[in-house]
Amino acid sequence: MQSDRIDERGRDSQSEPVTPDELTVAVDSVALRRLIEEVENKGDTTLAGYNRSYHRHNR
Amino acid sequence: MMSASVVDVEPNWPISIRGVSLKLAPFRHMVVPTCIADAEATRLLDWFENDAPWRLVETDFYAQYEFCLWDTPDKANVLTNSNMLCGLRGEMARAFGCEFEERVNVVAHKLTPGQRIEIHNDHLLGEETHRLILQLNRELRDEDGGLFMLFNSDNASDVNVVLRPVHRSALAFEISADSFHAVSRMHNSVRYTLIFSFYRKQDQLAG
Repeated sequence: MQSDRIDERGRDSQSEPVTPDELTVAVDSVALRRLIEEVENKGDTTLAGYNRSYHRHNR
Repeated sequence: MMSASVVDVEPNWPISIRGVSLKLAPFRHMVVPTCIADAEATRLLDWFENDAPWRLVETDFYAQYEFCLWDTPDKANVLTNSNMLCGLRGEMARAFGCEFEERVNVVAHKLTPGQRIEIHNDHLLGEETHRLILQLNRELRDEDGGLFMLFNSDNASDVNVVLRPVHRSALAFEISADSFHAVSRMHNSVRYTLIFSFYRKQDQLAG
């Protein structure tokens, strides 16, 4: 069957059903391409790192 | 609509991840349908929208407003309460099968239209090992953006799943070299998150 769900790319859909919080986007859709463009790494920076500038805790 | 998997939050304990199973792909994580009590979520939204001490931070791969909840003890109260954090740490420990140090980071983030967070993995040796990200917003629609994306690799085209930032839901995950995630651009409205960061005990880090 032609896959049209991104969650079927890397997971076993038989054992991991889609939850209500998951957004279904067709693999070749404009919507998915736009999402990818929005978040792809555009610089030379490492992908390791956390988006936080605070590093205080309760101890 | 409430699904059968939704757990009731302990009345005297506003945040809980109990009753949710761990998913192994693309990395160890849990999606918690209802993580925070409604009254506390409303209180936090009111605070975040009116007089929270937001500070804009811009780097090469993200732009967002932030503040640390340890700087606001009067308003944060329940969220930084030692008993609450102890309970939450215990739930995270049971869920991920490990033990954590006592220290916990608690910060708040705000994304406004135009802001986004590019793909990254949070992996910094010697730093936090687990994260709980709790969503707070005024019922965002898909077209508003702010979608949480998990990836199978460091390639942004290798999307595994896209999660809606459903108000009061949460994502918990184990930080690793493979825990690639991102947040799509906000187009309308505002997306708030509370981030609890945990530190696995050093003697359990091997392997």
